[in-house]
Amino acid sequence: MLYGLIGFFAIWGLPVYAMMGAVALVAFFGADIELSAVTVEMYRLTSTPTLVSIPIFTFAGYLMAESKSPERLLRLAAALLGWLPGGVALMGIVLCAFFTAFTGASGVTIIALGGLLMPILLKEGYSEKFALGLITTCGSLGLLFPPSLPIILYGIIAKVDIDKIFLAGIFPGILLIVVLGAWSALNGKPSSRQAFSWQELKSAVWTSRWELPLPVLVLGGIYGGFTTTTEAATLSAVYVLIMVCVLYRDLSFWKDVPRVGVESLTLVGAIVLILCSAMGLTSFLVDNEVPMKILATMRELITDKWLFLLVLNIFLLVVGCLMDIFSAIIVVVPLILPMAAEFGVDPFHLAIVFLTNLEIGYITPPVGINLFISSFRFQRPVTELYLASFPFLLLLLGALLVITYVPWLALFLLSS
Amino acid sequence: MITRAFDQSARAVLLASLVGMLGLSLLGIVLRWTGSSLMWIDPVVRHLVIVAAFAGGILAVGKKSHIRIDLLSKPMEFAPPAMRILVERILSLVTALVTAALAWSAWLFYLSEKEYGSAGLLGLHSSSLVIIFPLGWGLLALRWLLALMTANKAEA
Repeated sequence: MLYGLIGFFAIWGLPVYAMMGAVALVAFFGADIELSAVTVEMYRLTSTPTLVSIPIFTFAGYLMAESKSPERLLRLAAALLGWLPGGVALMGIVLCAFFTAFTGASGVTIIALGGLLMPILLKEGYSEKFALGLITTCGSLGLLFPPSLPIILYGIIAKVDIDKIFLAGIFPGILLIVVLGAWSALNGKPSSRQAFSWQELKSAVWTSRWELPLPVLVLGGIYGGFTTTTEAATLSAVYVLIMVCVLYRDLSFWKDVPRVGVESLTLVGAIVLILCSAMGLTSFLVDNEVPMKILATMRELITDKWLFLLVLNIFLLVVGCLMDIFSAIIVVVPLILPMAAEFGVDPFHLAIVFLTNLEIGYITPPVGINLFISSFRFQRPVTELYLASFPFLLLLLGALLVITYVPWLALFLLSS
Repeated sequence: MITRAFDQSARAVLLASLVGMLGLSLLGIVLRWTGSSLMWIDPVVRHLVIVAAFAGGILAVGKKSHIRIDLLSKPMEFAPPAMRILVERILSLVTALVTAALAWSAWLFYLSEKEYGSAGLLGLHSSSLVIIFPLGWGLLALRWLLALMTANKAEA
């Protein structure tokens, strides 16, 4: 009865952390466990070493999105890729992926880059429908690349090595870019290709000279064994701060940085509160062997790994279009993990399949969040966005099948 | 007026936490590079994340940017204003009640930690860090009550 009431309020828009907190309280109370146990579980969060990387990476990503980095990187991408068939669209795709990886797929990509990319795509002869669909889809495209916030969150919840999930996501992430790039090349006009110019490339590289070391700083630091994920987050935030305030002087340290800090940490606050309230709930579910009970039921219906992965895909696509990615990771991962282990799915492959599904959920009607962000950003009815994104949705679903059924793609870098 | 003061205080706490997190993390890295370390840095920084989470959560109430399951909240944007205000008020009330209950749960934990805990970080009693939770949930509950009272104005 009480659970039903909480569910009722949840669909009307009760904040997710309140929903989870309420369920945890009711569950503990119902099981005659002292209510302080809910907070005991929450307090466990303070012993999670990678927790700090969430606010710091998000802050760094927001700083970059607010600076003139999007313009500079757009120019660099155009100089590098504009000569390819569909090159202009490809540069947009790559740039969005880069920004999403840093801003944590929070909708910032569409807001920061959408206005810049739209006129460029239209000028290059793409239809408005295509451009809208592409930008909406790209808003969550870099989610599989380091230092993506959903990956860090997944690692914390699933207790798997975050550095290894970063590696596992690289090839599947590239596959998604290649698929969308190829589709853009097919839809582009041959006349839209711009001539390659060394001069322009040199000039664009020089203009973006301070942004270019950033991926090296993050990836080189982590995989070179020089820094932990949290240290890489701190160093990249300090670097970005110096870059945008001192080297480029895009933002004022006293005027803009506090505003960006508050904006980014407000999002982080919302996520960490969900994480807090989910700690109690998930430990209750695990203590009561709920995942094992679901597994026992599924065992009767599903007998092999591949069927399990197919059912998982369908389930996660539904979850992805109904829930935001952060809540979905926190709620669903603890339920899925024991089942996946039972069916022999590699934990890193599972992470990538899971995150790819949720990435696609961003553009899945009726409530994929990118559809609403684009609708707001470009002042178009959301139904128009449904239609514009549909071909891209099909393409990503095709890529998802490849990622699901060719585990090598995710596991190659881990085994080599 | 109270709401504004509340949010401005949360903003200040949020910024102080951000500066603390960045500064201390950087100090930790520099110390590691120089071959020394301060054991308390990492746990303090992680507690600062929780402080920032509560401050951010308080600000998110005013900005209406809390993460929700977007099932009916999106279609609700097209509903008549009176209905939107009613739903907003009910949800604010329910959230205030839930966060107050979480504050109570956290207070019970604080009391037991005070009784059975021990000296921890920087020589502080372990309960002095646990207090973040009852305080955070309690302030969040208050902010939701303020949202309940100002729902009309916010909608207008």
